[in-house]
Amino acid sequence: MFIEYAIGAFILGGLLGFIRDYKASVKASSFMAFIGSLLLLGEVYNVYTSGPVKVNLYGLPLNVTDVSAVFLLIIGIVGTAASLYAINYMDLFERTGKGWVYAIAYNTFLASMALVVTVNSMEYFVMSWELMTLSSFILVFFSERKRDVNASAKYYITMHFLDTIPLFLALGTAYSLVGSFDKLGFDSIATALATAPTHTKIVFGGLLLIAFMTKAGITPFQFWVAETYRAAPSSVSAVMAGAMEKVALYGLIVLVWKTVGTTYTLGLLVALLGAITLTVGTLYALRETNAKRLLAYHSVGQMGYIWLGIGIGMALIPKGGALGAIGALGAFAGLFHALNHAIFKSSLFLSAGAVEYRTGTVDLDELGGLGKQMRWTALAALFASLAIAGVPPFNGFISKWLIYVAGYQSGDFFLAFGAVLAAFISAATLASFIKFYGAQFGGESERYSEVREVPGAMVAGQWILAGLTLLIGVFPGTVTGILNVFNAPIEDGVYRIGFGSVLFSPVLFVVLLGVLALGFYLALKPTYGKEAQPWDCGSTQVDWDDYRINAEGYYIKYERKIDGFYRFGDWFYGVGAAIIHYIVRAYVWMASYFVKIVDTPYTRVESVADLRRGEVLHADEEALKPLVRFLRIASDVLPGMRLGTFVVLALVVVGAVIGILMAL
Amino acid sequence: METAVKLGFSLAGIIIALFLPPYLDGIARRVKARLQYRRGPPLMQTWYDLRKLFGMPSVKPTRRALFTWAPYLALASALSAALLLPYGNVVPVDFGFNLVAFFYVVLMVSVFLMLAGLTVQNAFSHLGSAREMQIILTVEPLIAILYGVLAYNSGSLDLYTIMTGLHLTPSLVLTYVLLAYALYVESGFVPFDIAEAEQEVIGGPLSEYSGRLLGVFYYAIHIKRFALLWFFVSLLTLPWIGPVGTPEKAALVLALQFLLTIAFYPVIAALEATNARLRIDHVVKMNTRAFFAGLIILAMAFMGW
Repeated sequence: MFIEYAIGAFILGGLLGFIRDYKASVKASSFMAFIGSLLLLGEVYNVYTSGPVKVNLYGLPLNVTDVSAVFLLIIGIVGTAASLYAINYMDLFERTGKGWVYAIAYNTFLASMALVVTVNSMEYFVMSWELMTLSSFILVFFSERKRDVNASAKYYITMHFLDTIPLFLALGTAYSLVGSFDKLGFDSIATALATAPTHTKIVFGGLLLIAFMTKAGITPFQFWVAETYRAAPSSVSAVMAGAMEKVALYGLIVLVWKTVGTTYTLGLLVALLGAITLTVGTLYALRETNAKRLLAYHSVGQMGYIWLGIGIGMALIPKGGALGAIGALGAFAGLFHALNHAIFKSSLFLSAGAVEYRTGTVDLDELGGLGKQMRWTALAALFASLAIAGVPPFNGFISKWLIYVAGYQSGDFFLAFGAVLAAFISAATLASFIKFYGAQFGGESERYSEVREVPGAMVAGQWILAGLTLLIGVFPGTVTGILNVFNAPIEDGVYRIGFGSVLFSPVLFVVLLGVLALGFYLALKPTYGKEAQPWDCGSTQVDWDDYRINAEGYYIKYERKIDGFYRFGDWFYGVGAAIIHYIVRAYVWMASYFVKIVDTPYTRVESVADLRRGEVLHADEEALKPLVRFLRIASDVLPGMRLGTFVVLALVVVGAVIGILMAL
Repeated sequence: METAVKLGFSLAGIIIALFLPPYLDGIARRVKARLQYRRGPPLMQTWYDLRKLFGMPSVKPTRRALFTWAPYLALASALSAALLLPYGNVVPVDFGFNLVAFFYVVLMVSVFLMLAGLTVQNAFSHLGSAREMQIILTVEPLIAILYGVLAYNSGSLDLYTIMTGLHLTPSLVLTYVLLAYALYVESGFVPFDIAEAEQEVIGGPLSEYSGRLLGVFYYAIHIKRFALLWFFVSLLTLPWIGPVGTPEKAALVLALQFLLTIAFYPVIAALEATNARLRIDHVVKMNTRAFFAGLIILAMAFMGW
């Protein structure tokens, strides 16, 4: 019931975009998106207390299961914080003047994600999925800078080839299996697949797997992620990284795992893809110096963790017994990490956006010394950074730790090796976020001494999430009830969480750490003598702002040592870029038959840039041109008429119509 | 009676963790001096140094609150890690007696050290923080893989199970050797004291610290080194002495742990005194090799060797 109101709020939010004033329209629509996201959380509570519900949403049948509730929770939390933040943040794009575009696209984006995780049949799933891709694409090029437009075009083409086409083929396969478009519910597909030959299963599962891998940014399909998240406005990047990637995980669980079914081999494949992805994504993030690209590569890496956990579940649950229990633990940990990642990654994107809002840049080499001026943003970024690095007592620690437990105890070499990689990459994540925090908020700088803290709504948006990283970290019991859809035999009392004899008590740890830190503080209270500038070897020539290491220099020695890895990765990227390039060429070739360059006739269309340079006319526009011309003339003439003339003309037209009707 | 015994051992643990670490450093200083034909300072010298630092006010290079809080948080993390280890067979504060929790809590000392270095506008302390991180980056995969061997060998990440369930295989022996190396690097003893390198980066993350705050940081680092060594010693002794049922046996175990810890320190000091600091890229190279060696050990463990 809440979900109907939520969708209603999103629709209203979209309509509010038609307010003329840019600022008013983005503020009103972001506020409605905020309300809608809160209502989604209400639906989660509803499902949690009274079990799965079936809803009829304006004729669209929805089935809100316990798995859906987990993902609605993710979308709800991220949507709430990001929308609240966007109320002020979107002012940054005022010069584009497209408030209504943002309003419709953003609200559609949130609503379509909510639909993807609740609809119960394949055709609505694919439809909502496409709506999600389209609306996110519109948001990515919202700034209209050239580099951003290119990024969004690549994003859309990638999604088109690796997402839309496989999904439609899968839809076709499902149709041919079931034989009717009315009965494409997930359970009827599962029933039909149960008796289908193995190769049909492989084709259907494989197509879906490619689609979900692409959306989640799993290696080798991670190439679109960095530029896309960099280009999108930060509040949108937060939703894309926090929620949209998780929707692909929903697809993996509900369509691949539950509908097609799982085997040990498939689970191992998913887990290994996860292990490779977490390594590739995070090591690429390590050398990034653009805050948003760094975060984007980390979302790739963290998705790897999640897939590793889910893969352990898919591999071991079919085995049953003690191994099945470890599998369920892995799957639970994966899902838990999905929620945690949504929270801290969105928080980090919002912090990067806050810095961008005040300084106008996200380049880590240029930033620095913001810790004193933007105190609350800095603290939120620190919380979220520690959470993503898996430092206790933040939420990232609990879920990562459960993934290690599942992997290490699986008794399987490949899964254990995945856990080893995960533990190693945890250090790389820490390194990357020490850099992220240090380069932006560490030290002091003169260049940014006039910077102020961001407005209240933006701070609140960050702190909803940053506060949750600590809350869930200390009291994981608050969410484990909703998350444990795999019935993993975890112990999740108020005081401790764990599996079997491997337990961790976050509350006890926090109390111990707090008491010790406070005790030492009181026992050895800091006493200060004089205040002095940091020591600079007595130099008089040092530029104060440059007396630090820039982001590029942090781990340069280490990066040089693993240069071989980067070279291989870059070569791989090169191949991917070439493929995308040829796809673009093919599109342009097709488009050249439908598009005419008007201002300089007979120009041959050879690249996308040609289309952008001249004024173009599409085939459909050309067909409708006479009508458009007539309407233009009419609109030029009409305002000039006086009322009397208009009334006479109207009478003539009405008379003519009546005359024709009578003659007929 | 049962609780009284437990309380006694816990108290012993707390006292050891709080007071022994600076003495261990005193031992190391004495051994280093003897190796150089010097007489050396008294065993209490590190304590005297700390007391002197505690008595002096700190110079304030920044107004960031994190600069003030980081030493205390680092000290609290170090002590929490030390209290998570078994003294005899009693864990003073059991908030999660398993490998991963212990490892992360130890890591938190470094995290606060690095954050502290980054709060001030000083290229040397930034450089030191980045170096500390690079060492962690190279040593953590090694530790992760060795934990994998331990977990596979005993069937669990839980330290109780590990300390009762390990069985002797060639891979386990190799694991001990590599683990000793990894923990030595993690402790930042001499060839690996790259982050704080006095002569190069004037103390690294600590270069802006002085007086009482510096003392707190030094104390935290001593306790962290002690915790890592005590962890290794416990892993070395507890699995092989059979079930510890009676308080008498537990007291013997505690004495064994204590003596072994003290016995290891001269070895460490000798290594420190006879080595020169490595360059960061050398350490990266060495640790990468050790990682691949670890990979082979993990494969051996899975083959049952």
